[in-house]
Amino acid sequence: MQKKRDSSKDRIGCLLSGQRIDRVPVSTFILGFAASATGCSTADIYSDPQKSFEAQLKTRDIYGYDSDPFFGYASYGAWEFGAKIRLPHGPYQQAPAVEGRLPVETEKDVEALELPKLACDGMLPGALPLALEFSRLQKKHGMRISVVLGGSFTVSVNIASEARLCRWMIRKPDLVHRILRVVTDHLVGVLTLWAEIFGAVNVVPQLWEPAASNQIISPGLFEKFVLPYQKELHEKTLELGINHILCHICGAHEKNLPFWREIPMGNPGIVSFGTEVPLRTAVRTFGSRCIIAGNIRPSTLQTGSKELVRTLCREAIENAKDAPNGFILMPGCEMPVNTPPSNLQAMIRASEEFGRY
Amino acid sequence: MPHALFKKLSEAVLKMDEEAAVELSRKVLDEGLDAYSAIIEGLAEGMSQAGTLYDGGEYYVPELLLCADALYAGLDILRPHIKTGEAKFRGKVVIGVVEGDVHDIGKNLVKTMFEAEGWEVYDLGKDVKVERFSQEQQRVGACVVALSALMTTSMLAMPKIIESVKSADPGAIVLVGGAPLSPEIAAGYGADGYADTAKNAVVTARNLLSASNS
Amino acid sequence: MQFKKDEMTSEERLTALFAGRPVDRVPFHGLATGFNAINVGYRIADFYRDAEMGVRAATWTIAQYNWEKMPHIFLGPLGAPEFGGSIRWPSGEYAQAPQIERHPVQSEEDAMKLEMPDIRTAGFIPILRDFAKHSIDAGHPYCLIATDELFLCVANLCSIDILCKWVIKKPDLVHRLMRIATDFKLAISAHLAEEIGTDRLIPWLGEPTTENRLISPKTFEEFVLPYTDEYHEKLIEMGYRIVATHICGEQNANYPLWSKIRMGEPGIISVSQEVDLEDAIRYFPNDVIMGNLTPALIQSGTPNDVYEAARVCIEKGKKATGGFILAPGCEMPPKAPPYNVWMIMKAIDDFGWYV
Repeated sequence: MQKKRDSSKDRIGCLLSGQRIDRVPVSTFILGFAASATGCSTADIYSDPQKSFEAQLKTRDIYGYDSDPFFGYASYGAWEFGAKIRLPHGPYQQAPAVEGRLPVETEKDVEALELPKLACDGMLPGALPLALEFSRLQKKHGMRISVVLGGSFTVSVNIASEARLCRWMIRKPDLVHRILRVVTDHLVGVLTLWAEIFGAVNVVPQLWEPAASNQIISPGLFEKFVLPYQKELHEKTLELGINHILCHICGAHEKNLPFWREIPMGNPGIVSFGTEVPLRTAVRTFGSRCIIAGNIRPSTLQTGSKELVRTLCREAIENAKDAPNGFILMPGCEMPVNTPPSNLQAMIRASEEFGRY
Repeated sequence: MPHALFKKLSEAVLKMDEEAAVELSRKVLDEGLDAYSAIIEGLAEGMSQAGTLYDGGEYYVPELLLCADALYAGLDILRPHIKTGEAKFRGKVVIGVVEGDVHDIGKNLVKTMFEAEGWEVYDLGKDVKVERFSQEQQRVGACVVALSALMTTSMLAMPKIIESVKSADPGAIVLVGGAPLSPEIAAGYGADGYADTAKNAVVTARNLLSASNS
Repeated sequence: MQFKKDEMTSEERLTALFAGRPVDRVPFHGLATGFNAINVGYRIADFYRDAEMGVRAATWTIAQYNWEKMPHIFLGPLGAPEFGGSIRWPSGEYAQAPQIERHPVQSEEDAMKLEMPDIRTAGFIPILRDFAKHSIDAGHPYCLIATDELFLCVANLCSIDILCKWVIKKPDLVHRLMRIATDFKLAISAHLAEEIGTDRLIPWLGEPTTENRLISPKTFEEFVLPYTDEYHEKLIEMGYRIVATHICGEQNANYPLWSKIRMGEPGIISVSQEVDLEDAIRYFPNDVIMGNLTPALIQSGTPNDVYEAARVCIEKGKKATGGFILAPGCEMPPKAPPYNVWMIMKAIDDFGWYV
């Protein structure tokens, strides 16, 4: 079942290199869903790169979507900066969560915050050894290498907690700047390492930024705390020779879009949006320099009917199919673990039916 | 017409001024004013206005958290001085983030709004086992149970919780909220109400409660 | 699931198979009910209780996996609710199908008082009728509607425990109940023939209660064979050309007796995993053999084990002189991992071609 990909069938690869494709590609952040599709445990998806990779390959075999297996988790940061995490178990958990003390709980913790050591000889912190093993599997299968990290702000939230960072942004801005500084340096460090090991041109990092959404912070705070560090992160990433960044602008970011526009994404970048950002707005804002991806509501995928999913996909395709750099049909965030299989199938069918070029 | 001090208290909360909230609360006591009125017409009013600003896109979570800090700082001083029998709790509410989910910032804001409105809140915290909600509702005799979830997976625990709460007490009102929820999903789960913001959660609870009492 | 080179549509394949003509590849039937529901995000009970939802779930799932277009419904307790017993719909994490809560016959007296219910309205019968109707409306060339076998019906009336005792202590009573069951099932079949027609509706006659861990071949011969013979004969007379008999469970010792019964033209013999496909082919050389992947393996086995088991079935089944449908030996487990199901289809694509 494991074979190198026929490059003409790699629709996302074609979009990245500016080639024509037959129809809109369908991509998904599929993690826990792959466990239920193949009968392995959700914890394996996060803790066992080999099993995770195989489960994701098999799941792609079943449904025929376009994205490659990847390794990542939204709470990136806490474990890497020294906290303990708990892998998902039980019927309702979806992803790893921090257990016990966070790396930053006091002002003193901020002063003491240090960059975790990064060396590829087994001295990597947190989930990075697993991520590295996973990336080696991607390389072995001729895939793009996708190291998955949070944006600077989200990783800072994962280290210090949302509530603490929210209070400090107003009361103790210097502390927040210091955390963001350390986190940004760390993220650049990880990307540098990946570029060294796998070759910068082969790496397409994924940077997920849910915590800076307007459901949490104002555009004013975004401009002050998120923009400078995220911009620096992207600039340094591209300076490494990495050509494309997949930036998942997760949640309600509409008021932040003018700032996101200032951030380079690569040539082209891929920007993926949640349902909260209309695709027409996304195309207008980023279409000239990025591939647009999104934005089917995950909870509809989980609880909605197949007809509703088909309709939403048709509308999404109609709104974004002709974006200058292309469009990828995608859920607005991770594919819910309990999505009925026929709803994922409906996404693919919708692309075949409505997404032909 | 609220007392001028109460108005200042309300402003202190709205402006996230914790020190002023403390100072003004002490002044309320020094001047022999009624602590309960100061809470309702001052602190709670300020929090309610903060909620309105959030709904209007002027305030965001950081601002709300700091308003809540000011509210609690004032409450700590005024609460011990409420005269027995004076405080009329609107009702008791059991609140928590459902099993499998550790995202509690939204739940904490809803809790604050309930407390500001004079509800007696029993907070079960986060990642709360399915059966705990019904047990706690039975234990304290709460009229409202409020459930929060941020993940599509954890929200699947909600219908089970609703079923267990309703089977133990068919009259209990269950509210749900959180990013992946919608009014349609909430209705499908058998919830009595859904709210998209912390402030609306309290308004919805209040409306449902008065409808069930009438 | 796209096959490498499908040369026939499902309708062409099934029609050819039932006419004894060659087909392009081994067909697959999922025997799926609760699996369909979960696949499309419904509750399992929805599949059974709401015929429209049931057929929709089946239609989508069939299209998704490229299964044969032959939706299937079975309501195991048939007989109990129609004669005044009660059932429980599946709910909760582990329930798979409706179950009997109270049998209508608790005593000999009850058995003597049984009266034929109103066939148009009683119990599950409207669901079976509606399911068939929606299937045909949705464009499926055939549907499998479980009117089920007779001994099962009697077990549903009085419980298998009592039936096993009465077989020895009250044989006359068992004969009386078998008579009622025969008349009841023929009445349902006549009603369905009238309302739906017999061209596309294939009666699915499931029989788990005659298995040899419960009763002997001798008991089968005495109590089951004569009534079943009459039942099948009359079904065929009614115009049901194709009849599917699901010989469920360990019935190796009953096969010689089953083979004396007229099974249809052709019959579909659904073989359980306890019986070797080669034995089934030997007993029913002119009928379509269907089976017999182990459901528990599909649910819990590794993908490679499932693939290998499917390959073995395909290799054996392709030698069936009356034709072959690959299928589970009993109901598809509702929570079978999609990848294991996909591996079955892959095995057909790799080993199931006739041309």
